[in-house]
Amino acid sequence: MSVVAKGCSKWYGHVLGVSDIDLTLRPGIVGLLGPNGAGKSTLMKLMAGLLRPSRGSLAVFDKNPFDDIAVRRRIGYAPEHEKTWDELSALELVTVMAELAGVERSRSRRAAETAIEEMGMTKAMHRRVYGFSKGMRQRTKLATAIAHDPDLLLLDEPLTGVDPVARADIVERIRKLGEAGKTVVVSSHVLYEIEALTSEIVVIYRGQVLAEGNVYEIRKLIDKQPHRIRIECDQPHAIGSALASAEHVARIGFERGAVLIETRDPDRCYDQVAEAVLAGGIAVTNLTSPDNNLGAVFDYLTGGAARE
Amino acid sequence: MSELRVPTAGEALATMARLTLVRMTRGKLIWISIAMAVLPILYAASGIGSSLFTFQMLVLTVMPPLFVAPSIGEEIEDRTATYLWSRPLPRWTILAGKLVALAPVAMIVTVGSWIAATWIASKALPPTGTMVGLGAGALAISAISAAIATLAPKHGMALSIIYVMMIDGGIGLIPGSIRLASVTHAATAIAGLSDETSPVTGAIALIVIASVWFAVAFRRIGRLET
Repeated sequence: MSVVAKGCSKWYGHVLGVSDIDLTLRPGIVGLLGPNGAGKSTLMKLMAGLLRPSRGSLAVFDKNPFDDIAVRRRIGYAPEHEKTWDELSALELVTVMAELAGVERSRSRRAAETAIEEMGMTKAMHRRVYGFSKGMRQRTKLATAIAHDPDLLLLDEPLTGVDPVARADIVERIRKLGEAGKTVVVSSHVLYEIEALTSEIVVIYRGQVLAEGNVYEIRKLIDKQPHRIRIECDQPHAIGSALASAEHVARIGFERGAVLIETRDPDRCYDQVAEAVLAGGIAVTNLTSPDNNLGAVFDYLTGGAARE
Repeated sequence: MSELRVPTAGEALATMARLTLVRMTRGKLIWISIAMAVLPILYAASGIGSSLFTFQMLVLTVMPPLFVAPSIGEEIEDRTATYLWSRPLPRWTILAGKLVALAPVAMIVTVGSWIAATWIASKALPPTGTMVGLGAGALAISAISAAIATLAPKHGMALSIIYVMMIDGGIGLIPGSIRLASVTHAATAIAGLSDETSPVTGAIALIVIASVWFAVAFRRIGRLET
């Protein structure tokens, strides 16, 4: 196991960071999802060995990362904040970080160049960080996290403030790290960012793990909630009328050019929708289930509180 | 998985010292410190000269806080310390690396300024004792600045200067052995300019004071969470 937390809690004085976290992380990409202030960064810092648990335990590769210095050699951490040593060039920054992580000085520059190349920053590596855009800073931070070839990568909000083109590129590069067999923990409060990276998520809210696992497994936890089906078509009211009397239908709503059905029996609902479409000669342009989207799962799990 | 090599304490310390020096030479503080160091030279050139060492003591109270406190305090305040603390290093090497880089710079600038000012005033080198006193004082005040910066990162430099000027200076004016708790008094004694305290006593006092402040700084840095 890469990370095992047992009853792990962290308080800052009277302020709760995380509470009674039980968590096991294996190699692959894991999304740490939660609204701002949920405790994601605190959990990341506990894993990085920056904080000591107030209660319980947290082990990285079976070692306590706060007290065991050597295990931090296997951890790469990119913090949430933007601030770095702006007086240095990207190459200098990544090189010194690699050295401080244990890469021999004779090899550190080459390791830094490789990491910078992997993050698509080769052209700017001799420029000082001072003049970098947010996207370039994020890439540089990621390069500092991977330069020493760690087994556990902790990337705290790595896509914040990054433009869409850079975001797609960074997502692809993070994916490759996961495919390379590393444990990559990526935190975000933006649902689609996590969704673009992985289906393995840990939902954290008010310092507690609300759910963990595959997004579909998490869906099982919330089966009491109605399943939503959105049908874009030319006659949404006709479909709504056809399903209005069905006992499995909890709610029917209409949007412009679409009907949204909430059902407790998705299979039966899909069958009845198909029958209505065929009987009425309805032209369906799109049929989606928002429940496959992390946004819906997150909304269910937090009871909508996170979006308030 | 790559080999599990962690930096030795010496490597970590040397890398931290190198990093600190590079950042210092590219920052603004080096220019401010040079401007401060020039003041005694200008004072000497003005021909007043009678209280030149006292003037130099003022430079001594400012120079180490100027170098040391921001380097440590900003690291904590800006949270760039998270980069360092997530590395496989004992935290004391981070603080020690900074001190190894900056304390000698503070010493060199302070003593260099004193030598230049004395040369301009009297066309001679200053007495060795005064140079040793100022150098040792700079080292001890570096320890004070490091400790205060870990305790109050945001205002480390200002508080260090206030402490050395107001509190330490005040203690140095108290008659009796209590004044041995003052760095500025001990430095003056090492310089051979105290009527009551011998240079040896001053040196011992300075070692004790610096050790206490170093202990505070290293203990604090080991416990900080950010």
